[in-house]
Amino acid sequence: MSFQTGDRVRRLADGEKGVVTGYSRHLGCQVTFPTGSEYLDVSAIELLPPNPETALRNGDLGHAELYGLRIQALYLRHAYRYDALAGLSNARIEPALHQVMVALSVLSKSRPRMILADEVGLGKTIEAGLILKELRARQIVDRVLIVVPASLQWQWQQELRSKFNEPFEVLDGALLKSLSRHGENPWLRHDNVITSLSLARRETHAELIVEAGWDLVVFDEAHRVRRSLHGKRVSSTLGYQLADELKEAVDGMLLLTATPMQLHPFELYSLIELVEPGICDSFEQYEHNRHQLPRLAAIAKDVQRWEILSEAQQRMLTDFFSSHRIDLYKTEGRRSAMTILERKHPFARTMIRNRKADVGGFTKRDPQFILVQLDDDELELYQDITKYLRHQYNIAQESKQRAIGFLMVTYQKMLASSSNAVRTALKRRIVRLSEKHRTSGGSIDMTDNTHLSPGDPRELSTAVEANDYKLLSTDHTGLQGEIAVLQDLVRRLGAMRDTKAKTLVHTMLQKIPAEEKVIIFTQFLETQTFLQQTLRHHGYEVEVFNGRMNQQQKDEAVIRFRRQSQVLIATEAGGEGRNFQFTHVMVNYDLPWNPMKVEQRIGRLDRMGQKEDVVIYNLACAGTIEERILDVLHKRIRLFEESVGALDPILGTVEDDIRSLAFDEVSATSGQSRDVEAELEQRVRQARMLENEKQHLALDPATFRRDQANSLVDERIMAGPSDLQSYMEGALRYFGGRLTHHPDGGVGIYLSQDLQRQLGARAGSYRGVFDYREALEREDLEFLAFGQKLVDSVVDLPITIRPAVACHRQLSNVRGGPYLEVFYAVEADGPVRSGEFVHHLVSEDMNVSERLVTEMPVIGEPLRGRTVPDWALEAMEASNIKLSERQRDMTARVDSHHRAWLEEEIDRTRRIYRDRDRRLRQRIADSEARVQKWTASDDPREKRILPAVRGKLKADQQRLSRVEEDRDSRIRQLQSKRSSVSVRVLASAVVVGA
Amino acid sequence: MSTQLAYGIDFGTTNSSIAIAHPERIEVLQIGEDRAMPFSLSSILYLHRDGLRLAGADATDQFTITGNQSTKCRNCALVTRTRKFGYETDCKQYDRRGGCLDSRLMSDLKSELTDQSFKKTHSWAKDYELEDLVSFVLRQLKSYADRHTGQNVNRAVIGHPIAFVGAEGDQFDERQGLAENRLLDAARRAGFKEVELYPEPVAAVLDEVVHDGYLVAVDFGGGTFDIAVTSISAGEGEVVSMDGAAVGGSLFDRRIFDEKVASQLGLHLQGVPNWFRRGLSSLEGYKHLLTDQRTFPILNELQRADHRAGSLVRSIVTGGQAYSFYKAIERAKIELSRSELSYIDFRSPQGDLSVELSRAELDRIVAPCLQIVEEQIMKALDKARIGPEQVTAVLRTGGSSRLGAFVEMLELFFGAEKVQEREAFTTVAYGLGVVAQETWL
Repeated sequence: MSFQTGDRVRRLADGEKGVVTGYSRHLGCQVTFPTGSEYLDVSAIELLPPNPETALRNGDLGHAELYGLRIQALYLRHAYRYDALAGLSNARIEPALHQVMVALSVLSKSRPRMILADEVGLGKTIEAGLILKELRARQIVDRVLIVVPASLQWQWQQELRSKFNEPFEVLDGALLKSLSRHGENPWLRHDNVITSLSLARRETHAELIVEAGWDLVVFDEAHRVRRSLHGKRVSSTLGYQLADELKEAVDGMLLLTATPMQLHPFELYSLIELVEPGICDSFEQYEHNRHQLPRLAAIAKDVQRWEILSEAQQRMLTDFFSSHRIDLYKTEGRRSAMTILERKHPFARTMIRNRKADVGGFTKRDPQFILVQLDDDELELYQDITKYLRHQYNIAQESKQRAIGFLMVTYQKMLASSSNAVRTALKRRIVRLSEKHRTSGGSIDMTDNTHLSPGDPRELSTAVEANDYKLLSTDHTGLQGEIAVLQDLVRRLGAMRDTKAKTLVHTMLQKIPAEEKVIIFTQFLETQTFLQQTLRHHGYEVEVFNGRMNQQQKDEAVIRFRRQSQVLIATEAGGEGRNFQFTHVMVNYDLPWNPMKVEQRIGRLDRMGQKEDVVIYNLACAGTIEERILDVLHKRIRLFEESVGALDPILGTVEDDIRSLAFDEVSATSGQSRDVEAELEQRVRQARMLENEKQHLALDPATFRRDQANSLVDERIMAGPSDLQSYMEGALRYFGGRLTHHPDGGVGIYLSQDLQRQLGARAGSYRGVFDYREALEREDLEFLAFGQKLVDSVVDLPITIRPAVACHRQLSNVRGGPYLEVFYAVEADGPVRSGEFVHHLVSEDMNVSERLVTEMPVIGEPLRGRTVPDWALEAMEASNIKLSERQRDMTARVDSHHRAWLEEEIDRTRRIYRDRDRRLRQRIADSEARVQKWTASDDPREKRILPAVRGKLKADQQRLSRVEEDRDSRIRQLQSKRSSVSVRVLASAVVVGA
Repeated sequence: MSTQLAYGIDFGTTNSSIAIAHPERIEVLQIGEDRAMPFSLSSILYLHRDGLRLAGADATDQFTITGNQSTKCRNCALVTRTRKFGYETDCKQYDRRGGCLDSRLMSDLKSELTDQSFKKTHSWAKDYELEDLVSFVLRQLKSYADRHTGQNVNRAVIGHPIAFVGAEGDQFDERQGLAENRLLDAARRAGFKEVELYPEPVAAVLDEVVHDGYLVAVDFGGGTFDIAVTSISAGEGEVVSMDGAAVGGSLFDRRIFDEKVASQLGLHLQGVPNWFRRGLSSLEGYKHLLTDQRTFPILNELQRADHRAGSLVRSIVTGGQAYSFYKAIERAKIELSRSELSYIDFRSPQGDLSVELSRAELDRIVAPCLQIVEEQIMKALDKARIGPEQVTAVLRTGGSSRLGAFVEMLELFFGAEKVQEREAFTTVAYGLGVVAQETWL
């Protein structure tokens, strides 16, 4: 950016304002400040928008179009900042009502701290994203840390990027190493960080993380951040210690878990302590409060369904609220009643939990079971292969060769998947074994891993390829024997017809009409390829989707599937994070042994936006282990009928159970397997009971209040995607670019060479979508919303370049004239935030008409050859006077909110310090007791630790002595905060009606 | 349900029009993308590597933004690098050190229809068949009309010349047949299910009610002036003389540019080469400047010599403002058919240009051209061996035929009552609309 002499500028270093008085090629801009003039580099100053009043006085009028674009840009920014939930239209999601409500109730707190505990499938990630996006729009958070299980890091990164335009950096061990080279704190290098719990909890990192300082910290799968009670002793995991350190250091804290009810009460209490420290004085008090919850929840429920209560019930309810002067017979009164309940409910403001049953709108699952009847030859071969696998597996177990064990288990899964999969795998093993046989004649290098194939390591097939050279017997004859067995099996497999595939085709032809789209899931690439060929052979249009495809190939496959192909065959790794709710028929061609994986498959279809019942076809070969597995998953776990999300913690062992079912010689015949199954069923039943028992812990209706929801729906948002799009279209055209509807969907944005340079854009053309609904269907296109780089920079253009703050223009929505128009931004900044975009139209007789701008302003038409009327400055003054009334009103409003805020904050601070005080005293007492005991003791080990304990005791005592002081200084700090209302004159124009 | 409508489409070499056949009337669609020719869409096609395609004025407009953007093969997304096989791409133009432009502008598609060797054009790893390219233009017409009617109309009559350009000699039948088939195919690809072809000249006369005598038709368009004298007796017409000259609207614009605008842009300064000034004087010439490597040093030079003017020129050449710049000149000229004074108003973020243009000045600027036009009219009448008083009617068509000075000249020459305006390019489309109506409604 270049400056001209006379430009008003601001020195970035200290905000001092000055005027550009000259330019030197070597020294930079000469700027004169009140304190004297100096030369500054252009990067050290920024242009100040000229004052509209001065511009009018000097007759310094700009383009009407540039003026109009500037107003629109300012308006859009304002809307993004102050709309109740601007995050909504700036995210690539179709948010469900409950998600919006969750986001709203978190955001309505003075600090965004909450346990988000919705059931699996209700979109906790989206809720967290919405909250983050909104905090971002309100400019409350800059530094965000998300701590997740290692396996979910990339998925989080991808979802935040594609759905919310929030670029996050995944800090893993390697990156951390490279970042910390220069002795800086690596956690300070990025503002948006995702990291794994296993990494973050390490002491060396934890310290630096706490030191780095954050505005918002999110823990996913927070039930793994655990503090538990053993007898009287409390033990914290390292993860909990990290969270504990962070809880007071950061303002925002979100804990995500789907399974809070499966936790021990103390563990849950510990999580609540992280969100709202000191909300209960002790665990005992927490337990006491907790037992009152069912009653409160029942009352809340009754208030909600007031209309259908009997008269007696209504009277009882009225009695309950008798001490509050409210009239339950009125909607208004019932609303206050809910608010009272919320306040009484100790945990309403700490945990939110929605359940699918309450949210509603979920369709049913309709499982279909297809037993494949193998012919005798096939069955015999199946059993022979199983025999070979079992034999090898059991030897491997004995000799503790885990890789072989894994290989055999996977071969078993392949056998259950398709003859082709197991045949390909066994053939490959023959080749590998023969190689070994030839080359090394017995002495075998077990560390060989040169055969690693490229691609997604999460593909099971890939893992098998990495291991299939591993040997059980290292002697020559054993090797030869195994090769011979394998060769026989492979030969027989080759000669076999695949009844399962035939059954699939038959089922599809019979039951699935040609216009119905189908997703077939399999665990193996080999099965995928084989099915693809088989189905194509039968005339189906088939797409495949797997972890070895790159992003673009995946995108293309999904689009083709949406548009034309009837069938998509997906592997586990391929389907992660993809949503297919536009189809409702799926086939489990084979079944993973881990129920959560099956649930994830179903979850791709059975999710928000699914309009029809999800039909799940499950294939299993009769008389084989598959039939048993299907039985366990279906009858014992009831996997295909209801979501098992809540059972996550107890389902971890199912895979092991199934493996022992498959490989234990005994279990196949005796009753032992029954026991495994019965045991499992028992566990599931217990977990479900627990779930129901503790459901009152979160005041469900509090998050899902109809009245709030309706008022939200009524409230029109200030600016939506179409407003942003129309602005972008106009601005691009003006500044030398184009926005065009693209024949392949979405829009194309094209920048001229100069504009590209000006924006610092990396390309001259972009494809994208504005509407989040369309964006949902086109994940391959850039999502154009606030937070997206190009959008942000184009919105900045008419604001930051030499802006037009005054002009002449003609407006079609105004009559007569001329008038003077003035735009204002009235904003409250500080703990209480609020903003208004105000428009004044002043006529020649100094009559000011005022309105709040709540929809996108129009650009208007330029007027030629008019001068600023001589009454314009007087009109400006009249407008200013009128506006000061509004400013006064807002100030009064903000002050009262500020007082409420301050009261709440001081309460909270007192509570936190009371809690700290109590904890310190407890610790000191413990330490004192220990010191006393150990001083008397003769144990040399205890003697050795004694100084350390004494040191800790001393530190704690010092801390305790400071608690009061710290608290008071904190409170003084709060009291010194102000929410001040400021007014900015944005622009002013001479306006004539059309 | 409303009646299923049908369209008549005149797909021309430079301009195309579409008529909507209603059961009771024919309506030539006002596309309105160009003030001078509101009923036509220029038959220009724009293709971008991302798959965007545009026809008509949008095509030219868009080209002014992206015309000079290119991608190097080593950065191209259409090329995948594999460790095993090196480069892999479907693009036939791949060259390790090469690159290609991101967009292209194509015109004269109609003249290619007879070319047997032109099967497809290969751009950005995609093959576009000639039929596809033509269908993009037809689809644009269809979508304008569909938007107007609110229907997805899939029946159309499309005009074809008696002899396509290039259909001649002993290969006439073969080439004419090829062109007609391609046109039919293109129409189907554009989304029409029922398509009929109909000869253009026959369609052109379907809506004229003619009286015996001499009819003078003058067509004064963007590039050419044409005059035809037809002798009509008993409803049968015979062309008795034709003449024409290469003068037209764009020439006027160029002269306005030379006389009024060039100096404001600093083009009079010493050292500005002639080819640059000439190039900048018209949208046609500008398109070449855009891809000419010699342009950029001159832009820098200009900006050094005169910062304001140089920035303006830069904003036109590389700042995406070219289209609105040339439109500003054209608009000022058109404005003068109604008023005595207008402004060439060009506003860009880099600066403004506002030049007053009076009717008198315009008359002076176009006078030499009108002189040529007048000579052509005389010549045509001479050849027909008639005087202006024997002419029964004068039909003027074309954007430039609205030029005040030209209308005055005609009226002075033939008598004001004989001169009538006909919309340019609509007669053929109108006639095809009539055929469509008779065929389906």
